[in-house]
Amino acid sequence: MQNLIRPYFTVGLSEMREISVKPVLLTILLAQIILSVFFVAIGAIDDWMTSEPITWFVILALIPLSGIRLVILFSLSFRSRDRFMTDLILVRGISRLEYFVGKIVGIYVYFLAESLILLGAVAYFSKEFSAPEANDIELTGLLRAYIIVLAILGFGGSILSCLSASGLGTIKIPSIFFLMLCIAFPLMELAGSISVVPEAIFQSYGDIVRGVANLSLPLILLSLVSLVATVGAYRFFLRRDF
Amino acid sequence: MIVEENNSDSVVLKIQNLTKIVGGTHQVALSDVTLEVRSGRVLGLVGDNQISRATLFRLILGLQSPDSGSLKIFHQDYSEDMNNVTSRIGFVPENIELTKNINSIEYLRLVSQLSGVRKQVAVAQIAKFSEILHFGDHLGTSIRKLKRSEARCLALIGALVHDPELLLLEEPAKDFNLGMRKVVRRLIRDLSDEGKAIIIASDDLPFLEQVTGDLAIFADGHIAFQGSVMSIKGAKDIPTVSVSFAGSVDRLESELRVHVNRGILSYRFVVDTCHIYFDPEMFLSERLRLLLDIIENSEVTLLDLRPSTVDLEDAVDGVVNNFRETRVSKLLGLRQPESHKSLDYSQIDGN
Repeated sequence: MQNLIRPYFTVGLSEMREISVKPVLLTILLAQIILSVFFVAIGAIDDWMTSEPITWFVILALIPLSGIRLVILFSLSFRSRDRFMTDLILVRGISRLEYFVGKIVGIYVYFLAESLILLGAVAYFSKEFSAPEANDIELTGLLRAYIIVLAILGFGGSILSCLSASGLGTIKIPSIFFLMLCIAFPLMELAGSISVVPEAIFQSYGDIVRGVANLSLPLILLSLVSLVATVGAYRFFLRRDF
Repeated sequence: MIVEENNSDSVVLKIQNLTKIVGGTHQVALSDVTLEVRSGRVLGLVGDNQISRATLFRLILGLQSPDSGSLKIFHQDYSEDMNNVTSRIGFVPENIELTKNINSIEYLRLVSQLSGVRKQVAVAQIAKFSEILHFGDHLGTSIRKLKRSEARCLALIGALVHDPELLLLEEPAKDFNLGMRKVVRRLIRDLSDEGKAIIIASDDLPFLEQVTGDLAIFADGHIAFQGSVMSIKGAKDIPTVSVSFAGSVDRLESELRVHVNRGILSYRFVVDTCHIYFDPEMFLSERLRLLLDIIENSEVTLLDLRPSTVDLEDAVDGVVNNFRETRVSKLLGLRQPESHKSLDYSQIDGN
């Protein structure tokens, strides 16, 4: 049993170690921490921010900056010329499945833990300054906010991993990803499923956190697309020459 | 054949008719390559093109899949999932690009974990090879601060930590000074004596000559020659002369080119000296007459003439050039003159 789990665990751990020491990613994490302090501080003086500090923090700081980190991370992840991967991991008896799963799980667990800590910290420190109707700092609200963060990061990560595993160049991956977003959002707006107007985004996210809107349908949809994209990424990765 | 033994148990790597086309340009990296490596032997891979050697290593490591042909490592056929095979291989690439944000001992701990080596075994292996490679003082150093030669030592220890049975080394003496080259040479010999099969891809022919028993020479993706170093250097007694001259190099070269495969195997210019390799089947008088004709026709002045030995670099060049010419002749449907058939280096049998 230990031998079955060991490769995934070791790869996942080495991936988390890589993320935690990459200077660019660390700088963006620092920006997230500074912004979390900013949102706590500004909540004390701004009526609007006081009402929903987590929603503001998630939409303006956590998702965009974690998204940028994911884009950087995946643009470099499955490169043919990634010496770290080919010279260190795949040539040491680690199969492609073990490497792929270990890496993806390692990245996801890292972002899961980091988002939880940041959201928890913002909620904890905001409590004193928040208005009574700020339900996103209560446990159920916080949990809903956290789940939707995970679903969005998982969705973005799976699409990015698919692009990266297909063998696209380092510059092409973020370009195509943003192009996909630019096409997807207006189409979704046209279909009436979401509104990309900033006010509407805050409103709908707030509704989910407050428990007014139903979380299950978008969650199921995001999870399904993420699953398909991840399987696609693995299929690409399996066929790649390095 | 590369080795003399007939014991199939000791065959570590067996490649038959392997072909691989790489890149968007569809370059033929390997074409109909057949090769065999046994335990306890050191095989040197040389040739005009690094892609062939690098591709062969990547195929052995399972990082690329062959287009055709068969590849058996430790008696197992190539498959998509080669992790049980690659865990018995050690690999040191030419360009050492280690993760820079950790120190040497953390790196070695990481590779030991990835290779599934038990902690006590890993510690013993790291201590052993650190001592051999004089790396003990750098174990706590950040990889970012290591010199290139030290990083190569670290990569070498990392490749040996799981006690591999097959070792693939790209330019193992690169970046090392004379003292360290000697250390690495001794290490390779010791590993070979322990029964490990070692394949070295390198352009450093003097180093290869000292550590390898066998050579495989690549030319345009094909193996132009396989055999012992001795056989390529002149087990067949290739008559060679060094000619010092004054006059036009171009004229002498054009005159020599006319006689390639017509009494001359190959030639090579080093400053104002030309090394000429003659057809071993010619008599001495015929060789002298041919040489004097060439000197006269090219209108250069002969300053000195002395017999010389074949050096490995010249021999490899000769093999590659001869292979290409033979191939071009075959492609164009030209029939080689009767007297030249024996000049094909690929027919020189090391045994």
